Amino acid sequence: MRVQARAQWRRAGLLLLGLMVLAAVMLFALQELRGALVFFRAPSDIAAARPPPGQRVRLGGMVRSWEREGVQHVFELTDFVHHVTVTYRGLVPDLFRIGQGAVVEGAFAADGRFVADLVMARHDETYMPPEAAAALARSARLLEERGASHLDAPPER
Amino acid sequence: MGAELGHLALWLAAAAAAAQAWLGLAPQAGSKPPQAQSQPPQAQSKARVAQTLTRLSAAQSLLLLAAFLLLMLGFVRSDFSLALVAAHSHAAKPLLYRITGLWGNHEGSMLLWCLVLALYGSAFLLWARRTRAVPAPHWRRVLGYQGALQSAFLLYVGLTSNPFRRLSEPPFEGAGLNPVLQDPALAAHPPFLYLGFVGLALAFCQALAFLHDVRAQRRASAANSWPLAPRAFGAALHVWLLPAWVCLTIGIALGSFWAYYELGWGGFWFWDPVENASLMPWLAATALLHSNLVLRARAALLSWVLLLAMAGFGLSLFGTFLVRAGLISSVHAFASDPTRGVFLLAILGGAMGWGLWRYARLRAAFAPSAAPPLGPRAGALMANNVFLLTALATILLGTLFPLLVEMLGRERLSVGAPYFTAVLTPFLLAMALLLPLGVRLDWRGRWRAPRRPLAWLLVAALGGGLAAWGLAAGAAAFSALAAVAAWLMAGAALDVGLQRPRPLRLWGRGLAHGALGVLLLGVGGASWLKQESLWRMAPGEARTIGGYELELRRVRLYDGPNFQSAQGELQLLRAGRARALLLPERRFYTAEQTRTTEAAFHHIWLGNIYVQLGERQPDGAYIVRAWLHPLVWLIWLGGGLMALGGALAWRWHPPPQAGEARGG
Repeated sequence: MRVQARAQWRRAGLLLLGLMVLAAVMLFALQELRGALVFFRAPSDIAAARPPPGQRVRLGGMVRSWEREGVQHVFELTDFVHHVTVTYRGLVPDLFRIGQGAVVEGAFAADGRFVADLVMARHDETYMPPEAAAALARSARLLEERGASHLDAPPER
Repeated sequence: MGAELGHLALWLAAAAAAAQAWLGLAPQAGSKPPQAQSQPPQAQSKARVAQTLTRLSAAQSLLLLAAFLLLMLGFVRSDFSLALVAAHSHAAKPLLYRITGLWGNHEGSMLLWCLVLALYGSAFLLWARRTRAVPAPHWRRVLGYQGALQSAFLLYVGLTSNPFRRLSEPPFEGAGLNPVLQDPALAAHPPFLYLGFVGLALAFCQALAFLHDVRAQRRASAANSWPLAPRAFGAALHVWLLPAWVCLTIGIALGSFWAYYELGWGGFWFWDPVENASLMPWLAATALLHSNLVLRARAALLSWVLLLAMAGFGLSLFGTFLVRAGLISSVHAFASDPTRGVFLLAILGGAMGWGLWRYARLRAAFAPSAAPPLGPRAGALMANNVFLLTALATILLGTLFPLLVEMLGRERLSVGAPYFTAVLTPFLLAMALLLPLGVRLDWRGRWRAPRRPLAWLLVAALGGGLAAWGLAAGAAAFSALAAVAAWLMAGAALDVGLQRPRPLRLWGRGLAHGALGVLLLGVGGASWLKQESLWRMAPGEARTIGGYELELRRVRLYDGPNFQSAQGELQLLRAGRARALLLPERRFYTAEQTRTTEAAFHHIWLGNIYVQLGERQPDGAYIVRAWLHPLVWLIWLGGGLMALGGALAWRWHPPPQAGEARGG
């Protein structure tokens, strides 16, 4: 009887220890998760509320203009309502061109320009990243309300 | 004509699978109490059932093989009246990629999935009848469940993803295959993955078959015996789980290797949701493999094995769903419509629900008796399970979190790599430290740290760490990782060296565990010791990276079979002597009107010099991007060795149950 009670006590103790470790692990994981989240923003979201400088975000839209000098690229991403200027140093993916959708990741610098360190490649002609597509769909609805469409000259600021 | 026959074959196979399911899962003679039976007619009808099942399984496999080959014929002949061929192929594509393009899309890959499932079922049937490792009622149930799963999948293919759809106005030329997918490693990647995923589906069927009728059997037979002994079940599961695990390991390694040289920046793992979706079943399968070890040796951890078998299948199906539902932004995702995703989710939910319900019935029939205390070795394997499953849970959280947030709110977000590396490192470290000690533990007796190996392990770890410190010029994190890798490799060597006799499976085990150390070393080197440079080079100029010199000799323009290319010739020099010529390219595929970058790399010891050619500048210079990736080959070497270790440990005939063998 005493042996059984001790065995049960030990089992309960192990279970408790296990649960505590599990809780600690979960808290740790959730904290790390919160720190590593990268939110997606469309240019209209940026115009409404600019993320603080240094906070990592993803930006998506259609490439409106693109200037490059060597490895230094400056391009504009638009959702036909607002646009954001992005600077990037490096080689852009092969499928990157004016008139196509793109998603970039980086952070805003103090001077207001978006400095990207990652430019995402599409993988075929028909595929547009869902985030970019959603952003464009939202702005299309916005324009419809105004009586305009994407096909008109973009009425941007 | 061929495609219509293929389509017919598809539906006939579905019918055969449904019949197989019905026959295999029907209440069997032998589940009734003995006095209701009369022997000779029972034996005859059992034999008839077995024969019919064999025929149905053979029919399923042959029909699906025929359908597959007929579809392949359409691809090879560039029959653009087939919608699939028109959308994904092109006459100018090389033959190999016309063939492998069959599974580079949703419909074709689902057909491949079903074919592999049918072949696994037939192979299992032949094996069961030949080796008699499991009683007939059990393997009939396994086939019944395989048939049920197969009917569900074939229904899915037939209704939502028909590969044999014809176009009323065939185009003159196909839309071509994404050039990024025209590649040997990527061509082999899906078949290996599917051999793994579908193998897990078979393990799931075995688990379900074990749970089937367990309550009725329990009532009918003696009080403390099982219809199928847990050990025999574990042995049978092992024979089929191990090849699946090996194939899955190879498939993941191939995918990583492809990403490294194709996606252009030398990364080997991106914590992409779809990559995670292949890693999670692998983790579950590894935990299953190790839990099964305890089941075979000590007849314990049955619940773990059953639940992990379900989890492995569930995760592999979930991964398939993730790739096809159009929910995520990824280089992998097939742009598909949501109905396909929902259907797959329904199959997943149904299968999991059924499995869990059956498991609940088992728990109701067998109250967990006073379980014998787990010995040291079994306990260590349990701890291993805990590490693997916690790792799996954290990856699952990181993969699902963005999807959940998006469904609930309207935010879109992604989880960065730092989350995964931060959360997984402690578990990986803990597992790595305990592994060489755990393999030396006994099944019975007391927990004790084996002293002699421990001393040698410490020496090896210290030696490895110091060597790394010296060679890598004081990189602290890398040296620590090298110490852990040395610890693992020494542990594997000791595991094999200190034990006699040394059956092949012991070598397999040692190789697989040591390969983990190799893999870690590769990951550390490629991540922490890499160097990167971005240059602007005119032909004739040279630059240095990591003690090597790269000279751009010229850039040559040429025409390939279906592309135009600008090929750079970069001479690699070390201490003035020419070592190799690297040929990075920028290609333009005329059919698809897309540009790709073909990076070039050359091995330096166990690493790579990796070079990418950029755009031509107005003044004639070129952008060149170069990396040094030390030890990167160890990553895929490690993966390959792990798979080889698993293969070495495989036997097609489970050993006779003769007590608790050590190791095995």
